[in-house]
Amino acid sequence: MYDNESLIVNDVTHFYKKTKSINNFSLRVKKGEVVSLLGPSGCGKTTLLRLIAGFDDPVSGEIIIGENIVYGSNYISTEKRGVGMLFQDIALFPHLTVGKNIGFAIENNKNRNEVIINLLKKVGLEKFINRYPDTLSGGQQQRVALARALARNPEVMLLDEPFASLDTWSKYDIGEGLIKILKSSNTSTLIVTHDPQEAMRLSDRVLIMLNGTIVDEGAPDKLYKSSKHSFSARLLGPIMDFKEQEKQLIFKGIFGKKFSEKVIKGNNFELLIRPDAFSIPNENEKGFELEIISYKNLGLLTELEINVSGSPLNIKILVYTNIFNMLINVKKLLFDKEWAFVFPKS
Amino acid sequence: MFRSLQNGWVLFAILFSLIVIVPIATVGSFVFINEGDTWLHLKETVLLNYITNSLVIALCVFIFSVIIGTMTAWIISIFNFPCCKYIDWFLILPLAIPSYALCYVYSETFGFNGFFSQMFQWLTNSNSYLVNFYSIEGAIFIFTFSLYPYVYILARQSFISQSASYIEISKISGHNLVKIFFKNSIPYARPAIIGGATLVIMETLADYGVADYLGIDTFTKGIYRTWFNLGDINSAGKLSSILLLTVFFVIFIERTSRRKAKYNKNIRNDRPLIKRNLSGFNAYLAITLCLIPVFLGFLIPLITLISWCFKSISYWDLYSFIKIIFSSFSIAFIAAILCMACAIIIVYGLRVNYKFVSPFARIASMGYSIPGAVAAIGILIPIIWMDNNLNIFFSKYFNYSTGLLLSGSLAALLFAYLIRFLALSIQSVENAFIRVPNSLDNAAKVLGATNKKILKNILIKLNINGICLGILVVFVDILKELPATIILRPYDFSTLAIKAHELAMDERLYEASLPLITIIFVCLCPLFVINKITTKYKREN
Repeated sequence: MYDNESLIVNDVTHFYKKTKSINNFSLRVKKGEVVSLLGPSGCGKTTLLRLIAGFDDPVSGEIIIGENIVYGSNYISTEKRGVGMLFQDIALFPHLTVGKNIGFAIENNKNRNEVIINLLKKVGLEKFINRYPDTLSGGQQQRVALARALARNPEVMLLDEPFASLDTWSKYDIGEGLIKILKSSNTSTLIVTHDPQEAMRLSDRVLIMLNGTIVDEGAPDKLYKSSKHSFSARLLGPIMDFKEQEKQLIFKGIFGKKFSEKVIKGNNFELLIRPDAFSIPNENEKGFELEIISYKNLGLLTELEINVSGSPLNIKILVYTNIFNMLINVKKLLFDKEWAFVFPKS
Repeated sequence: MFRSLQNGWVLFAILFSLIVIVPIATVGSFVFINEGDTWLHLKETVLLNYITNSLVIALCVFIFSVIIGTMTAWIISIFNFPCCKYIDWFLILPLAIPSYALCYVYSETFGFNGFFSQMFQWLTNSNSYLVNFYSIEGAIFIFTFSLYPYVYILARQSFISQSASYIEISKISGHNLVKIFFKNSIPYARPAIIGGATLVIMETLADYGVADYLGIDTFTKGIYRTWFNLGDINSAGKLSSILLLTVFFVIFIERTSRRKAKYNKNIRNDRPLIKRNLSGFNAYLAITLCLIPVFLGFLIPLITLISWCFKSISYWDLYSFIKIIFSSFSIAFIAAILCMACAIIIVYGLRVNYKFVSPFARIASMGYSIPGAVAAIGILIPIIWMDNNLNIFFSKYFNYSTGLLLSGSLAALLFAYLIRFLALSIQSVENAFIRVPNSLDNAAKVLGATNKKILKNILIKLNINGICLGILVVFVDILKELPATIILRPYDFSTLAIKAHELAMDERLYEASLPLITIIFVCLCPLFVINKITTKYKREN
């Protein structure tokens, strides 16, 4: 029945005090799949992980890990659920050596030493077997934590903002290394993060959570191109949010008549446009002419205040800096409506 | 809810916490019991004395210990002067000397033939007392200099935690140091000062040794006298219930005052207070002011007791002294271990399910506020009831008289210690466990560890120092304990405190000095360890 799925969460609801923190949440994770839960603080990401691990219980719903119903018609406690977990504060036992930390999970295993050494080899830390956690760097500690979590061959690995305590430069490298190891062992992984880049870089699928429920989901590139919710569109990359007056200009067709047909008439919608929508037109393309009033270089992007020929109002747009460098000479931009999102106002 | 109760740790934590309910419920029930002849007699004769004496002593000790504790704490917190680091440590040393030891020393040295009185008589060429310590004033003096460290420790902590910005803002506003003390520092530290003063009041109300020796009619002495001399358990229970209500009323006032005084820091990036250097006359003045309570509360009694000890050493034969040390240390050690074991279960239960266990753990923490004599009566009554019923049952069905199985047994005494000192152990374990992040428990759980394994292999191993310190703190408190031990001890069982009190009551104060000095030196150990830890912590931060 669940041949290809390691984790199934069905209609789970949880209350924190009197507020619904998880609202009829459902999720399926395939074997070996890496899924990220992305959302703002307090949206219920960590709570969901705690429910799956069994640290807290939902009020209703069902959780299935591997072949077993762990919550619902049956109950299995944390220690028997077959989950592994990496924590934000790494949570290595400070009084145990690296080897003993890993061995903690497999005390009754006859080949304990062999398993420990193999796991340490896997994470590239076999020389550190007798070291104490406080003598390792943050990245090394997180790798030891991964080796420890893998020692029991968990069905599902839960990562609760595991790279939050690492510096920006090393966290992506360490993250990619960890995911590579998890993929190689075909372990299903659920990552909780509030860093969109981390989610998009590391996962096969990203779930966007808001107020205890999924508002959008999909593969990272698909989500970036076609977000279904204004929150996820804003979260996943740079975007322009147009105000009412500017929207009226757009209706009047300054970005092309076809686009104005796409948007719903009236004010009850949000218009968001990614910088990817603007490019330099080639010889065969028409584009629209503009006058640059001012600009601010933001690194990869440049913010422009422009006046589109024939319109009475100046508007601000974001373009990639390499496009801007060409725009100075061309003074013409091509608008691709596929990168413009229209959402009902929330 | 049902799943939480299925967890053995949660269930046991709740059950152990409820142990404290036994004496509270027993004593509380006496409020509603009809007044007997003895009670009417007490009401007509001594009850008013018990009430007024206890309240006057508690109120005066409260005022004086607040003045001394707060003033010395402030001097130590904001001024830098020679030896201030050592004086800071000296100021808590009176905690090592039981109030009754202080009482024996001062009543003797200020007595008619005492050292200070003779000096006074020689200087003034008169035949009068310098101070009559066998009075309420004497008791107030003794309690003040014995108990002010409770206020000192908490007030100092509060003053130190004040942000330097508050002081600087006050200075910019044109306030001098005295004005800053009254307008700024005192209001900020008020909850801490009141907290310390509440401990002082509870210790004063719970005292038996001082009142008994000085012959002052207080509640605790009344309870003891009604039980042993008049043999009326109902009246003793009724007196206990009044004392218990008074103690709970004091706690209620303290909690209410704290609730009204919730000072949330609204200054970000607190800077620690930079101490102001004192030199010359000001430095000498600060040293003198801080050393007065140290001299009166620690040095004079210690030196006197040591000198008495040398004079009376021949009284003691090694065997009888070792026997008392053994009985005293072994009961204190067993009780301390028992308290710690229960505390570990309760605190771990709190960790497993805080919401469920927390109200019960708070009940267990109330035990420390129950005066020893009240706890003893609260235990004695159900134990006598159990003994009687056991005896009736065995006589009826097995034709065998069991006699008094539990009353007067070490088990009853251990039970009383458990009720009285469980709160101290809980506090030590909570302070230790709180430093271990919950993620370690969670990590162990997902790695397949049971609660027992988490407790044994992680929490206890990581906190072994804190747990040992907790055992030591309870051990020394039990070593000093007098009222519950006197009421509940088995026949022919003695402790260092009881032996010292018996000798003192027989006016053999010199002989009483050896057990007292033994107690004091053992009591200095945890103070020394705590000071070491605090100094290390300060250095690291």
